[in-house]
Amino acid sequence: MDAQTLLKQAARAIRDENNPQQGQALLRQALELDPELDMAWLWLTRTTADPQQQLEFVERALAINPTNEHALKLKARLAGVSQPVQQALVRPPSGSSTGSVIRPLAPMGAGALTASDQARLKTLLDQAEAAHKSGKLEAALAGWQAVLEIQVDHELAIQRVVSHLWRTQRAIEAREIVWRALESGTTTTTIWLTALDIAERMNDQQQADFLRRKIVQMSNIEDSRIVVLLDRYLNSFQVALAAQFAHLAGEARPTSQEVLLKVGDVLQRVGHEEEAKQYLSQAMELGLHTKAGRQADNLLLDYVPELTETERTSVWLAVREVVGIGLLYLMMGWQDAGLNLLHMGVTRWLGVLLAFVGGYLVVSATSSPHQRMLRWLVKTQAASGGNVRSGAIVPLTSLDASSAGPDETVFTLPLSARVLLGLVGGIILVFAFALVFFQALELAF
Amino acid sequence: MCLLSILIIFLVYFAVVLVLSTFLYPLPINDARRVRYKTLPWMTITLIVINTVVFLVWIAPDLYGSTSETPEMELSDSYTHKMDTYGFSEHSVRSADGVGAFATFTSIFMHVDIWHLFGNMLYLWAFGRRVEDACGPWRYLLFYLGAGMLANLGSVLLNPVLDIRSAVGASGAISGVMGAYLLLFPGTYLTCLWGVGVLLRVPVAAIRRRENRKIPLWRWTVDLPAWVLLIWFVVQDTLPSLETMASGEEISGVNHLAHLSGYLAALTIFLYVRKDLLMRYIHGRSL
Repeated sequence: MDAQTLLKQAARAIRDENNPQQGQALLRQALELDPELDMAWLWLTRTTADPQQQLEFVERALAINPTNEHALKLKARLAGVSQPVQQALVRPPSGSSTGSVIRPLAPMGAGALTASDQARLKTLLDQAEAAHKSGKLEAALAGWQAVLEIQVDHELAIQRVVSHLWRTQRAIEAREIVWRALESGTTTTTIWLTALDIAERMNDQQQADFLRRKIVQMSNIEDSRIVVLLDRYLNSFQVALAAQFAHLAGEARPTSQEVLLKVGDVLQRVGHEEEAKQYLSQAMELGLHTKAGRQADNLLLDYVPELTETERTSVWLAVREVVGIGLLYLMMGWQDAGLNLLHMGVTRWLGVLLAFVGGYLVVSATSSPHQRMLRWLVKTQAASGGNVRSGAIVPLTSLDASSAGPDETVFTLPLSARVLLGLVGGIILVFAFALVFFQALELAF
Repeated sequence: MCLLSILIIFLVYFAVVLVLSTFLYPLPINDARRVRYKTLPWMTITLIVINTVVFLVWIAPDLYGSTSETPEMELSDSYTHKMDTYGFSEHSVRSADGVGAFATFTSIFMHVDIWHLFGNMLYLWAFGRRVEDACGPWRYLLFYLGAGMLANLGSVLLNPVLDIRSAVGASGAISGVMGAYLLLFPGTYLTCLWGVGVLLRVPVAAIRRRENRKIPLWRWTVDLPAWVLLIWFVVQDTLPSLETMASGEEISGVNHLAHLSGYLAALTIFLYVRKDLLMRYIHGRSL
């Protein structure tokens, strides 16, 4: 079958059958037979949605036939669309020396390879590997380059080429190769990570920042790779970078427990305690019964205890403590009555009742000064004018309520009131003790 | 004999007894893990100090100062009087004898001999610090006294026979602390002296070292999970307690019923723990 026939079949596949993959394969075959077929390059623009790639195909067509009107119109249209993408990619400086190693851009990603392409790829790879093993490095390099001409984002070829170029102090060429793969729209994560590695080693912070942002947003990158990156920054004492990347990762992966746990851990270690707590809480809330959830919960143990507003203002939690005090007094009274509840008498029962009252006053003064029902004791409003959010987490700065500072969102009994309640409650408890235990006290003293 | 010689002999004797008594059964000596609120366990330390001072100053002179010339050491009348008066017995409580119900407090701070004191205080040190951290010092004290009281009450009420013997010791209260530890922190580990365990550990350590794990081949202590130890203690006390409840007799001299009652009293810990810890417990979060 000749190139023109293949071109017609490709056009039919793209236009009539809406099958761009078939069309691309046919166009590839046509270009193999006739590389100067400018219309084939132009039809290739209909097989990809990437404006940058489309522009490259158009450039190829114009390189063959500069007067191709369709190509010129398309180029004019694409120039406005692809410009932001070109700027966002922050290409390396064009003045960099690329040498004779860099070949013209290969148009294809792996998805569009024909069977013959793949066979050719395999052959070239085998030849390159053989040359590498026998020490013929330049021949191997040429082989890998040939692979990249067919498939610009071939993972193994890029690894080999970049590794060789880096070792031979040709960093700029290595970067060029990787960036060509990125610009072809590759989603191979190792290539992106290699680009980041190169940018960092070349101290190109702008490029590295851009790549990090892209990498964390890639849907196909494993969480473990992000964790490894975070560890790397932390272990190399790049504190600011670790913190910055942690924030990026945390925002980009709000449902990944593994990432959130690592982000929280990193932020904790670099001293960003509040943010660490936030991410660890997020990780924990995603599931407490997973390993990561339990680890996050354990890391949260480092922080001051937190209560929700409902819990903090709860009367029942205060009453719980009062019951504990009352129970003690009841047991004392019962023993004092000779282990006979019926013989407790009015005095002891009064003592038990007073124990509950005194206990409540002491508990309110010490560990539960935020109860809602205590508001009537004070005439002044809370500092926030009563505008309290329900269910909001309000951290306790100290469990010792007497040392807690004024809280702007939750009502707190004033210090003077707490002192008064505490004193009165304490006196009542002492009196109650005398009432419930009077016989024992008489015997003892 | 000079004082130094006596001290040396005592220490050697102490070490021998410790090794022999811990060869078969583990003795927890420390809970070295991090506690949540990082508080200084001053109430636990205070309780240990009070118990020790009471024994050394008030009981030990009567116990070890006896000038009896008979081969068997006879307890002095003073010692016996103190045990009877200030120890807890059903008879003294019901008939308001001695100090009456006040014995519920005094008995908790008394011990029959140095080994009784040592064992109890060691357990209080091992288990009490974490429970104190979970409650705060004053609520912990209330819980400790309450557990002791419940242990005393349980030992008399569950015994079908009116027992005129007095019971002393902090073990009822400490059983409550141990029970609370089991409820709140079952997954933590305790460092124990345990002869058999130390020997059994050697081949395990050898295997792990072959897997390139850097652990010492020999250690004098073994880390055991708290829940294993505590459930073992509960089982140890349950069977004799059931026997006592059935027959009314406690022939071993150990008040197993008080221990068991103390473990049950641990359920009241939820009235005394810190609020946020209680909420974490309810929500299944780590403590």
